[in-house]
Amino acid sequence: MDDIEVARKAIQGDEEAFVALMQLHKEALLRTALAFLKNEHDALEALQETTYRAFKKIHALKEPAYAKTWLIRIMINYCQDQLKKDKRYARNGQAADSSVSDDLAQLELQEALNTLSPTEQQLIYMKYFQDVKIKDIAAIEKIPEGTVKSRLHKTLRTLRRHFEGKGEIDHV
Amino acid sequence: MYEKEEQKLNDFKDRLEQVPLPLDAADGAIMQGLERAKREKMQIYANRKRTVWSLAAAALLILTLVTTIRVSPAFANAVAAIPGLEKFVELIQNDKGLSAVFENEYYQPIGESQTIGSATLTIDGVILDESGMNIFYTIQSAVDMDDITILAPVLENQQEVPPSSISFNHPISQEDSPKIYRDILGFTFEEPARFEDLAFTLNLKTKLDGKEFDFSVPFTVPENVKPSVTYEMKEEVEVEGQKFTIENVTIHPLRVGVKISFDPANTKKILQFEDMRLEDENGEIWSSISNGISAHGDIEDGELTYFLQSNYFEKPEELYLRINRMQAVDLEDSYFLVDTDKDLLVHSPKDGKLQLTKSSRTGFEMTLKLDQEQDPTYGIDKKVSDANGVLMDLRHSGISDGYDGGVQTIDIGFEDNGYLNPVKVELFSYPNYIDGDVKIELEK
Repeated sequence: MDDIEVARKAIQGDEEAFVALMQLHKEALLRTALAFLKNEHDALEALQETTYRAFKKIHALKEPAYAKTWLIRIMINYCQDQLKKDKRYARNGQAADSSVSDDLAQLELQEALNTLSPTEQQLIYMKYFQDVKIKDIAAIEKIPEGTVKSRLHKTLRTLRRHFEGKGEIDHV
Repeated sequence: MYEKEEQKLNDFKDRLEQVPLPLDAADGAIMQGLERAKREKMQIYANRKRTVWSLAAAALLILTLVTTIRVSPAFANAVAAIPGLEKFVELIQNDKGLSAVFENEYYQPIGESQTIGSATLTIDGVILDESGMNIFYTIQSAVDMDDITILAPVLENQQEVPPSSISFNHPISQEDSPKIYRDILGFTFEEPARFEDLAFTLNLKTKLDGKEFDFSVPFTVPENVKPSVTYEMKEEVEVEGQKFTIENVTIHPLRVGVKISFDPANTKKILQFEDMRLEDENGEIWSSISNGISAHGDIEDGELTYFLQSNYFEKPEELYLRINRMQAVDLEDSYFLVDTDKDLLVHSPKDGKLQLTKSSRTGFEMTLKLDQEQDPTYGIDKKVSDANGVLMDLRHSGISDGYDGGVQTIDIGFEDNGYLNPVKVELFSYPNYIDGDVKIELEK
C-alpha cells in the first residue's frame, strides 16, 4: 500500500490504516512539536493529542494526498494553543531541551518566529521545514498561489525587520 | 531577495533534523491518543442513544456514509436567498422534505441570541409544524470548538411541550472556522401538537472547553403551522406470514408519520423496515429519514410510528405507500444471552452469525458475521438487561462498520453493579430479512 492508499483507507474509517498513517508521519510530527514546544515530553504529549484530534476528524479530510500536511496543521494548531496557555505561567529553565536550541543565532531566529502571527508561523513552517510546495499550500488553504507568495514575502520581510532591529546589517 | 532569512530558516531546519527522536515512546503516544478518541466515540454513541431511547422507545440513527446528491436549482436559489443558510446546506440537502420546506419558504428566520462570557448562541431560524420543531443554531466562541458537547436541550412554551425525541450531531468544528459551530436541533413530538402562543424558550446546556454554559434564548416564531394532513387507512397487509396494519399516514411539512400496528399472533419479530417509502405516479420516491429520528414507540407495545421524508409541498396525482423488505427474526431469535461470569454465549440467533470474543463483569465483545453484498448492521442492542429484567447501567455500546474482514465487532460495556447473569440483549436490528410487495394507495 502506498502512502495515499493508507490515507484513503484511514479516511474511510479503517483503524489499522489510521495507525499506519500516524506511524508513517510520526517523525515529521515529532519534529514539528519539538520545533514549537522545544522539549521531548511536551512533544510526545502533543503527538498523543494530535492522534486524538486526527482520529476524530479524519473523515473530514477530503484529499488523501494532503494527509501529512493536514496532520502537521493539527499539530501546529495544538502547539500554538499550548504556547498561548503557557504564557500565563513563567517558563522555567527546564522547558527547553538544550539539544534543540543552544546557540545564539538559533535563539534569535526563534525569537523572531515568535513575533509572527500563528498563520504566518504555520506558513513558514510548511514552506521551509516541511518543504511543502506553494501550489500545495494554496490548495490546502483554498487560496490563490499568488496570495501564498505575497504572504510569504510579507512574513520574510517581518523576519528581516526583526533582525535589523537587533542591529544586524543586511545588504540585500 | 530574502536569502539570508531563508538561510537561517534552513539552518534551523537542519538542526531540528539532527535531534534524536523518541520514536518508541511515539508509538505509545499514538496508541494512547487513539484509545482516548475511541473511548469518547463510544461514549458519545452511548449518550446519544440513551437520550433518544429514554425519550422515545425506538429511534434509528443511520449515518449516511456516502451520499451523492444533486441539488435542485430551486433549492439552491431558496438557500441563497437566506443569508447564512448556506452553511446548513450539508445538513438538509439529503432530506427531500427539508429541501422542499426551503423552496416553499416555510423556514422562519429568527436571529435571537445570547452571549455568556466568550460564547454566543444564536437561533438562526426554525421550522415548526405539528410533528416537531427543527431549530437551526450557531455557537460562536473564542475557544477551540473541539471540546464542545451538547448536554441537554429543552424547549419551553406557555403550553406544555409534548415529550420529544431530540436529534443532534456531535459538534465537529470546521477546518476553516474552528470557532463557529452550526447544527440543527430536531425536536420530534411524541404526539402532534399545536401551540396557541408562539413564544418559546430554548434552554441549551453545553460544555465548551471544559466549562458549562447554560444558554437560555427566548424567541417567537412569526407564523403558526400549516395544518398536517392525515389519511386514515386501517389496511392489514401480510409479508411472509407476518401481519401488520397500516393504521394511518400523516403528512407534516417536516416528516411523514406512518402508524403501524402488529398482529400479536406473528411468529417473527419485525425489527426494521428497510425500504418503507412513499411513491407517486411517476415513480418519485420519498424514503425514510436518514439523519434524525426515524421512529417513535416500541414494537413491544404493538404499535409504532415510522417517519419518512415529507412530500407535504408536492401535489401528486396518486400516492402510494410501499414496503418490500424488512428485517425480521423468529421470536426466539430476537435476543441473545451472555453469561459474563462463565464467559459464555448462552443463547443467540440460530444462524450462528453472532460469536462471543471475550467477556468480563464490565462488558463483552462479540463479532457478527457479515454476508457478502449485504449492508452492515447499524446497531445491535435495543435493550440490555440482567436476569431480573433490570436495565444495565450501560457505559458504551457500539458496532464497527465491518468494512474489513467480513465481520463487524460489537462492544458493549456496563457498570458491575452486582447484576445477575445472564445479560440479555434485545436486538435492535439483525441481518435477517423477509421480502414482500406492499403497495397501498393513499386515497384523498
